Order: sequence, then structure tokens, then C-alpha cells
Amino acid sequence: MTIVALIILAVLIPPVIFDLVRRPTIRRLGLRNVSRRRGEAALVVAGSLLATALVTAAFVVGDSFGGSIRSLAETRWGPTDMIVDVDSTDQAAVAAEAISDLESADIDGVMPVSFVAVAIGAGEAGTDSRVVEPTVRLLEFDTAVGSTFGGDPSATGLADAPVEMGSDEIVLNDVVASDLGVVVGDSVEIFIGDGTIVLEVVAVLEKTGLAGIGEAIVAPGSLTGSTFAQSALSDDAVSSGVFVSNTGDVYSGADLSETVDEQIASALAGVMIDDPEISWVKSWLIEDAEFEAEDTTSLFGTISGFSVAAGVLLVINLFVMLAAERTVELGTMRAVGIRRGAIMRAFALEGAVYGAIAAVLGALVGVGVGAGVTAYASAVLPTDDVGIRLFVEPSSLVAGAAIGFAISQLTVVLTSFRTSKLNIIRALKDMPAQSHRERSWKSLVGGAVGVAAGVVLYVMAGTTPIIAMVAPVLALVSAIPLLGRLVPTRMAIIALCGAALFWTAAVFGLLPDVMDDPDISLFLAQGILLVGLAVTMVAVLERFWSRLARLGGGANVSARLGLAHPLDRPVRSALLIAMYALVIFTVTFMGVMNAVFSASTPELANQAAGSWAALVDTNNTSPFTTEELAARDDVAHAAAIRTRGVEVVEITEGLDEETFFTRAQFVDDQFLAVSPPPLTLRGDEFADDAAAWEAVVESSSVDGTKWVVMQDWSGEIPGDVITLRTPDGDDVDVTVAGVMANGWLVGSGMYLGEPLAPTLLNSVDAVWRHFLVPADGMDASALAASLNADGVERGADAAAVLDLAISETSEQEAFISMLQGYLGLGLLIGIAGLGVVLVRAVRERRRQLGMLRAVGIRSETVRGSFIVEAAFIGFQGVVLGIGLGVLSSWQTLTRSAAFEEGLTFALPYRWLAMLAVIALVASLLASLVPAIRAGRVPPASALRMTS
Amino acid sequence: MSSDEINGTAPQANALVSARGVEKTYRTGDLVVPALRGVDLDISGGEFVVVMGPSGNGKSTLLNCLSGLDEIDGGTVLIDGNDIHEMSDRARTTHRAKRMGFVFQSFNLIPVLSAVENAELPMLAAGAKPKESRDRAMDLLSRVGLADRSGHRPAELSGGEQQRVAIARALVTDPAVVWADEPTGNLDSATAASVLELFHEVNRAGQTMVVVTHDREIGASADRLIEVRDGLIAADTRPSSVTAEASTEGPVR
Ligand SMILES: Nc1ncnc2c1ncn2[C@@H]1O[C@H](COP(=O)(O)OP(=O)(O)OP(=O)(O)O)[C@@H](O)[C@H]1O
Ligand SMILES: [Mg+2]
Repeated sequence: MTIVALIILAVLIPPVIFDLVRRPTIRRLGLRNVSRRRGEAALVVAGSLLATALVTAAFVVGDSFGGSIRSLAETRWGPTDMIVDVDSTDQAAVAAEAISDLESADIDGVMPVSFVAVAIGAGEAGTDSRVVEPTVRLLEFDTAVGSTFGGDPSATGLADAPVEMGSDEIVLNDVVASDLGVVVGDSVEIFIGDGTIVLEVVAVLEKTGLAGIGEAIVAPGSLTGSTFAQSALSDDAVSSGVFVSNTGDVYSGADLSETVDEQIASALAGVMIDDPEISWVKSWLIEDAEFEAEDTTSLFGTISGFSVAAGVLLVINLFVMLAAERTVELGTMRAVGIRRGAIMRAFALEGAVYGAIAAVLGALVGVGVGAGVTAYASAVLPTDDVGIRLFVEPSSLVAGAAIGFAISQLTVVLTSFRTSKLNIIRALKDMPAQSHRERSWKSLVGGAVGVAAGVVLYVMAGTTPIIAMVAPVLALVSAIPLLGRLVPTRMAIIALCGAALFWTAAVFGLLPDVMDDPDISLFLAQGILLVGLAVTMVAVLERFWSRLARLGGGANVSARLGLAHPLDRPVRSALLIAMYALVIFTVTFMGVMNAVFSASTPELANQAAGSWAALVDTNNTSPFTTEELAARDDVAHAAAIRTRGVEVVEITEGLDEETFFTRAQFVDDQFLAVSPPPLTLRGDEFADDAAAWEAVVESSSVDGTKWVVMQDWSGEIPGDVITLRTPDGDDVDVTVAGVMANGWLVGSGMYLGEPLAPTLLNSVDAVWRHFLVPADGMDASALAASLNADGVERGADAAAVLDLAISETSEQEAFISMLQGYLGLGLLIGIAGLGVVLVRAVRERRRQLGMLRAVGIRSETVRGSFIVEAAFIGFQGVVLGIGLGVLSSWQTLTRSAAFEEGLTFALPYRWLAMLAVIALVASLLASLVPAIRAGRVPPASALRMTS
Repeated sequence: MSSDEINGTAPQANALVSARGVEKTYRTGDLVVPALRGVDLDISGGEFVVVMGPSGNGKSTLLNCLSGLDEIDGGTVLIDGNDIHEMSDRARTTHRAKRMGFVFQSFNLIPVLSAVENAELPMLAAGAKPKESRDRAMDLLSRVGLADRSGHRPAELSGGEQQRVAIARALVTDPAVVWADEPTGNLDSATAASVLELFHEVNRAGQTMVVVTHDREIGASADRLIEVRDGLIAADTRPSSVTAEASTEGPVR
């Protein structure tokens, strides 16, 4: 995009500079027009800068998202670049030693660490001061080693940590300390199994670096050694690993990840640890940041594409008006022998001055808009640790300005090309340009080529979504001159544009396979096509409208004048209507999407968990048991869900073997006590969903087919076979019995039968997740609340599935509403555009207005005519925008594979009515200033004006 | 009664238009242009008054001020006995719609309306019914010889035809006075002659006309010829009248 803009500028700007420096005549013509009417020039600049501002804002928002996550990457992991997962504390020590022994120049820190999630309590039991934090990340490592870990001691977050810690001491970070309400010297209780261990807080550290990863830190040997050994902490509850710091700063260190990975693997192979799991924690987070930044920029860029398209139409309109206003002048210039090229170049020069000023101002305004969006985002987006802050890369300013400048300059050059082709005689008499029907062979050939191109494109590349959408439209529209030979052109346009409109609106449903994973830019293309086609059809119906207008508004002078102007200039009006409709289209689309998401919330919950209404997680140090839960009065059913990672073997195209871990849920027949999640696809051998689920829970490791249920996004279908690898290195084939839609809400991945767990997992220790159905008359949210209260010391974290779905959709809604707010700016473009165009119309029609006042037309009648004109444009824009927005959102949300199945379509009627009213009122407001100005035109002096 | 009763400065209550001491000064920045410097003038019903004089001497200004298109800086203008400059803008506008017609040098038709729509505009503005306005406008278009062009837009008409539409528009409300500022300035002599003939025809039917022009021929054909020089009325004669002795020599004031 930026590159294209720079190329356009590289082609268009040098000639302008040449003229500016070396061609005084052209310079004079161009620059005088700028300075002649400063007010008008300011309007043109104001109109053009809006597009630049939106583009720049999109970049700035991307910068902010990326920058915020990147800054998180810089602090969250502190010096830690990689984490090597090992099986036990002993193995961690061995591995750490082996890595240290490498004495690699790429590694500047190695430290064995153990980890466990525990509940920590403080304050006296039974009093108000009692606080329990259910899940705290507790790390065990040597603070003396930790504080020198990596090259930069301040980055470790351990500068103020005690060098030596006793086994009855603990260090907390400031966040946990303040949650617990403790200071140095207080004691805290750690809950393990049935017992508690009391430790003294010896330091409170700022949450950064290692003190960020570890919310609490204890001395080596504490978890595995004497203190906790007496308690019921099983070995499996503790994870062990080695933290590795790469040489260099945040980025150069992360860049070494691949090299260091190889070194670590070879070192560990030497101590018989094969195939270790090495996480490139920092480098992954940085990658995420970059991805997120790009993603956000492209999302906002595409969404703002609608507003930018509206902005382009505005710029075209402004320059067409500018040229129209000067028809007589231009005609005179041509008559006295100034060449067409010179007129074009003067125009281009003038446009470049406006464009350059607008680009600079627009980029600045864009930063302001971006800052606003960022502030709003940080307020509405639930981003755990990431606080979204404003970041502005200088390159974004340059890119925004360049794109805005390129758009306006391209518009100017194309417009000037058209206007310079004027007929001198007609121009001198200030007559409208003749609309000559192009019935020549040229239009026929052009049409035929267009049809052929459309067909060829579709045949050759019809599987590319954008081509599949656009090629048939190209063919249909190109066929207009051909069909126009047989039937009246008007009819040809209506028929073919209508067909193209239908295609564009329905394409997601008509070609579900092609449109299965659409890019967001596809929606942009769809919106622009729909609006363009619809506006063309409306413009063609102009004669029909005029007749209607004459019937309705014949007696009313305001209505007659107000309608006569837009109807007389169908192209200009169409541009304005399209501008308005585009913006309203997008806002409508987003609004409907929002409504659909919130209407679909209950279905989302059902898809994720079937009739299971709540779930509860506990620490693996002291989990709830199924019996204990089932015995509760407020629980009707409980099912244990063993969630762990399983290793999947994949044969790549090069016949290489690749393995990765995927999340798995092991379930037994408890899970079938109520309806499990519905399946969207199911193998033919199963009569119903229940049968398929039964086959899953009964799959034994001994014989028969081992059935699993997969998630929709995995792309697997019933009958597919997946190979899993056991910890012993054996392979087990499982077969897909069915596919469910939306498990990600409560843990995605594969559903397997509990009988397979011992084969596929290292150990089958306690299960720490349960699905629940509340007892009759009990509300799932209330059940979750009481479980959280009862299980706080065991790290209970319960929630109603519906509440999870609601918070999930509200997150989406917050994001969409943020986009909507951003689009509101597009509406501003529409209003500003309409206002600017009407203000210019007042000037263009000044003489006429003077005459109207002279023959006795009152100023309120004149004012009324401008309001009618704006309302006429606004009304059509609103009707087309909302109509097409609803049509297209209905099509894409319910008929396409792009969105999850089972979305409940809902129209936000009140919201849409509000949008319509606001947009209409806005168009009236836009006409206020021009209307007042028009009403004030003094007849005598206006009539003196020579055209 | 006749205009030879003009004497002194008392406004004539029975004159259609009666101006006393009308002053108009244009100010643009430091530049002060006294365009009218105290004009007295009475126009009776049915007169065909031609205003002539060198360029830049205040003819158009006089016409604008007498008709109430422009504000004045001093004096009074009575039309039908009412002081138009005392009226609110709204009342004056309505008064214009009902009682005055205008014809301009550059036709000034609304380009997006057809001939008949242009012609009926003042009637609609004055509050007449659409049907009545349309019939009346069609009548007038046929009177100016354009019955068959009523549906055409201004751009589709010749200059002379456009001016005739403008005349139809000026006459449509059956006004007390028709003000015309160089109505033939943009027309060739043959077309100009036909427009002039049209003026005389409506004047013969009783219509009061005030025409500003540079055209000697129009001047010669007038009932009454007023010469404006330097913001004052320099001569007021009756070239085609048998009662030529009634003319006054020299400035009135
Ligand atoms: N709006 C204005 N601002 C300043 N001066 C003005 C304005 N309108 C007219 N004048 C000046 O007032 C004087 C009278 O102008 P007016 O148009 O009445 O002359 P005129 O006799 O109609 O001339 P012409 O025969 O050329 O039309 C002129 O000197 C003119 O320059
Ligand atoms: Mg004049």
C-alpha cells in the first residue's frame, strides 16, 4: 500500500515540481487559484485531509498495539529467553549443569527452576482481614543466582531480593502482596493438600523480570525438600525447567533463540535427555507482538478503507466542482490558445498544493485520532497484562501522509484530464457538458473485452475469493453496452447491475467452499461493489425520481429547487450518495454483527459444553474430587475432565515426521449424564450424537477403533485418522467420530475416552477440572460463586459456562464497538463532505440565488431548498447504506462458512433506527451552514456578479 | 394626472413609484463611491420610462434602489404609497413577488428548471396554486411566442428566447412595475428589436415599465427618457410624447 503510494507520487509529483520551478505561466495559473479564494481552498484541504487522517490513524493504532505488546515482551520475561522443560527437579539440575558446561558465548545465564500453582492465605482465619488468593505462581530458585541471571541485573527484578533465603521464608511481588494485604515481616500460609505451611515474607519486589514470572519465590529445595515433603504435594504437581538467558539485549538475545536451541539440545543429548521441550518464550512473544501489530493495522486499515473510499469520493467531488465552477474561465483559456496540457498541469499543481498541505495536517490529525482509539481500546479491551499505550512510529506518519497524498493527487490528475477535455463553446456559454451516448464501436469492443476478461479470470482463478467475487461483476457490468444495443440502455443497466448486485450480495452463500476463509479485505470489496452498483442503479432511475419529485414537490418551491439540482447532476449526486452510503453500510454491518454475536451467546455456551452449565478448576496440589462435588446439595451432576497435552505425529509433505502437543480432554461416562456438546459433523456409523460420544468414552486402549471428537477449526472430518505418540514412544491411531463447533470457550482440542489416558499420559494423577450441572432450582452462576467461596484455599476457579460466553462475546462486542467508534469518523467524512459540497454549491449558484430573491422568493424558501437537497442525498445514502448493510451482513453471517455455524441472526432494530435518524439529522446539520449562507445572499450584489 | 405636476420635494401620493432624496454610497475598504446623490423621481402607472446615461453613473444602482433589491443610505422610496425601505426583508420580498417583475441583461434563469417552471416561479413564491400558476405561465409563454418551447431548459434556448422566458417570468404575477436592466444588452439588434416590441406591447396593455439601456433606439421610443449622470438625474424628457413641453431641463434638485 505504502509502496504503491510512493510509486504514484514518484510518477505524479516530479512534473509538478518541474512546472513549479521552470514554468512560470503554469505556476501562476495554479498558485493564483489557490490564493484567490482562501476560504474555498481551506474547504478543499479540510475535505482531503480526512482520508489521510484515517489512514494514519490505522497505522498509529497498529503501532500502539504492537508497541504495547512488544514492551510487555521486553519486561515480562526479564532476562529469560528460553525455558527448557524437564521431568523432575533432579533432571533440571543435571540439565542446567550440562548447559553451563557448554560455556557458550551465546548464553549468559542458566538457572534451574521449579514451579507450582498454589493458594496463599494471609490474615487471621475467621476475621475480616482473612484473604486467600486461589492461584499464585510459586517459583523455586536460588535468588543469588537469579539476581545475576543474564547480563543486566536490573532486568531480573531481583535487585532487592535477599541473597540467601531460609526454607521458611518467601518473597512476593508487589501485586500479590497488596492483594493479600501483607508487608515484609508478615506471615502467609500456603495450602497444600489438606495441610498448610506458614512462611515469612522477607521481601516484596516490583512485578518485573523473574519477580513477574514468579508471583512468589521460595528457596531451592523448599518445594521438593523438607518443608513441603511432609505435605501431600505429589511430584507430578511440580513442573521443573531450566531458564536460559541469551547474550545481548531483548531483541538480539531473542534472535539467538535458534542457535541456542541447537546448543541446548546437543548438551542435553550428552546427559541422556532426548528431545527436550524448549520454549522460545521471549522470541515467541515478540513474534506475537509483531503479528498483533500487523493484524491490528490491517484490520483498522481495511475498516477505514470504507471511510477512505468515502474520502476519495469526496476529493473527486470537490475537484469536479472546482473545475465546474471555472468552466467559463477554462473555456476562455482554451479559446485564447492555452493548450489542454497546460490547463491540466496548472490544475495538477493546484491540487498538489492542497494535497501536500492536507497530507501534513492529515497525518497530525491521524495521530490524534489514533491516540483516541488507543485510549478507548485500553479502556474497553480486557487485556490481562497488556496495557495498551500510544506508540507512534515515524514511518507510520510518512506512510499515512504518502497514501493520503497519492490518493488526492491521483484524483486531481484524473479529474483534470476529464475537465480539460471541455467543449470550448459550451464552456464559454456555461452550458452543461453534453452527455453523448457512447454507442461507438469503442464501447462495444471495450464491453466485449471486459466480458471476456471477466469470464477468463473466473475460469482461471475462480478459486481465489476476491476473483470469484469481482470477475462475474466485471463481466456483467461490461456487458451493459452490448445489451444496450438490444434494449434501452437504462434497462440494460438496471438488469445487469441488478444481477451483479445479487451476485455480490449472495456470493458467500453461493460459493461456500471458495469463500470459506475470507480475508477481511473481501468484505471491503463486497461493500464497495454493493454500494457502487446500487448507486448506479438509483442514478439511472433519475427520470423516475424527477417525476416522483414533481408529483410530490410541485407546489413547494423549496422542494422543487432542492430536488432539481441533485437530479440534474446524477453523477455528482451519485458520488455523494455513494460516499454517504459506504460509511453507513459499514456501521450497519458492524452493528448487525454485534447484535448477532450477543444473540448467539446462549448457543455459544451450548456448543461448547452442551447441557453442562458450569465448570470448576482447582489447583493440582489439592483438587476437588468428583465424589466430593457430586455429594454437594447444590450439584446435580459432576463429570471429571482430565485436560492435558498429548503429542500428535504429523507426516509432512517431505515425508518428514513432525510432532506437536495439542490439548486433550479425557472424559468418561459421567460426561454423558447430561447432553454433551452437539456435533456439527458425525460419522455415518453413529445414529445420533449420543452414540458417537458413547463410542468416545468407551474407546479402550486394548482393542477396537479408538474414537475421538475434534474441534471444527482443526479441519478434521469424521473418519480421519490421527496418530498420537505415547510417552514411551509408541504410536496410537485414533479415528474422528465427530466434530464439535466451539469448544474453545472451555478448552479446545481433542476429546478422548478416559480409558486411553494411562497409555497417552505420563501419569494419571488427580483431575483438576470438572463440568457441573447445578441442582434443580439452582443457578449456575450462584453455584460457581459458592464453589469459589468453599474452595478458595484449594485454588477453586469456577464459572458458569454462559457467563464465560457472555464475557467472551462482550469482549468481541467491545472490539466491534471500538471499530464502530472509529467508523463514526467516517460518518464525519460524510457529513463534512456533504457540508463542503453544499457550501461550494452556494457559491456556484450565487447569481441564481440573487435572482430568486429578486423575483420574490423568501430567504427561508431558499434555505429550505438546501435542506431538501441535503435530505435527498442523505435519505438515499441512509436507505442504501442500511439496506445493503443488513443484506450483506445477513448473507455473510448466516450463509457463509466464514463465521461459526449456529449464529443466531438478529437485527438491532432500535439501534438501526437510531443510526438512520442520526445519519439523516447529520445530513441536515451538514446543510445548515450552507443553507443559512444561501438565505443571506443579497440580491443586488449577487446579480452584479459576472459569471 | 400627469408628471408635469412634479414640483418641489413633496412625495406624490398618487404616483406608483415616488422617490425622494435617495442616496446610495458603496464602501469597499477605504474606497467610497457615492453612486446616488439624492435622487427625486416619480413614476406614474402605465408609463414607459427609459433610463440612460454613461456607464458607471448609477443607472443600475438607481433601479436596484427603487425596486428595493438593494438598501439605500438616505431618502425614501414609496411604492403604492408604502415606504419599501421601511418594510422588513420578508415583507419586501413578498412585495417583490406580488408587485414587481424583473428582467436582467444576462437572463438569469434557473438552469435546472424548464422554461415554464422558470416562468411560474414568482407566482408560486407569491403563494398561488400550482395549477393556476402553470396556466398563467403557459399563457405568458404563448404571448412571448414560446408556447412550444415550454418544456425546454434554458441551455436549450437561444439568448433571445431565454430573455423572452425572463419577460414571461417578470409578467406572470401581473406586477405593478417591470424593472429591466439592459434587457437587450446580450442580444443582436434584430432580436433586441423584437424584445423591445414585446415591451411596447405589454406597455400598451397598461403595464408600467422602467428600462435601463444604452440602446438609443429604445430611448427614442420611450414615453419618458431619464438621463442619469454622476448619481443624479440630469434630464427628464418625453421624446415621443406630443406634450414634449412638459419636460424639465437640468437636475431636478
Ligand atoms: N458593489 C459595489 N461596490 C462598490 N462600488 C460599486 C458597487 N456596485 C457599483 N459600484 C459603483 O457604483 C457606481 C455606479 O454603478 P452602476 O452599476 O449603478 O452604474 P451603471 O450606470 O449601471 O453602469 P453600466 O452602464 O456600466 O451598467 C460605479 O462607479 C460602480 O463602480
Ligand atoms: Mg448597469
